[in-house]
Amino acid sequence: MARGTKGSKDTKGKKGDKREKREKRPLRKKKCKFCLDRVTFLDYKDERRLRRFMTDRGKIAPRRITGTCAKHQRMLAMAVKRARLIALVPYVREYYR
Amino acid sequence: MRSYECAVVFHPAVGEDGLKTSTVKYVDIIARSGGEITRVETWGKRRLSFEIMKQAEGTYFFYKFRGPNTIVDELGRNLRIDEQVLRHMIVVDEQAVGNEPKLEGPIEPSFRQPEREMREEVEFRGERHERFERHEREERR
Repeated sequence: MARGTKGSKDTKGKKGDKREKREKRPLRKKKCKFCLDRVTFLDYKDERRLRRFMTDRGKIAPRRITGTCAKHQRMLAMAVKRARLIALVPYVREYYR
Repeated sequence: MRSYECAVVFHPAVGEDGLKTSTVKYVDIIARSGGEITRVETWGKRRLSFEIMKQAEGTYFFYKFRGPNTIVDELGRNLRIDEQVLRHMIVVDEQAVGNEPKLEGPIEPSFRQPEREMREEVEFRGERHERFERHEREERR
């Protein structure tokens, strides 16, 4: 048993080293897709575009996933909520394929 | 004076004639309240994202108009009463900064142009392509 714990400790230490290295590598910063397109107005009727910024369950995808800037995320939230009102986009989807 | 956009989801059982008379009715309400219609658009019958009044489909209409804010109340009241309407929504049209031309001639609803979507499909071909396809398959069903 003692050997086992020792072994796991060793591997843990190695893994930790690797992880540290990985953390040091700078992440590629995501660019806001709306900023790249120079979007000034987001239409709630543009359902396909909105869906790309939603999860499969119908939630609005967080900024940390999509990389959307604050300004455009606000516009997106507004557009999604409007689209939900007229059933273009779901509020929740329990089952999806 | 402000520009508005009104989205209406009609009951799927409403036929073409019914849609026409309804459109005329609402255009008339807008006109009587001192507004002018700038654009009428329809998407035809479409699958709803969720059921409304036990209906899985609805006919989408979009009326763009401008006029005094009293229209919003009047139009909304009439839409709420109408049993042929499943859902409606009136929002300020931020896109039109009061420079849309007045609609002339008979009120013929125009169908949506899918150009924009086509362009986007190409643009996003990459990381999110899979989700896009899945969504398309759903719509066809």
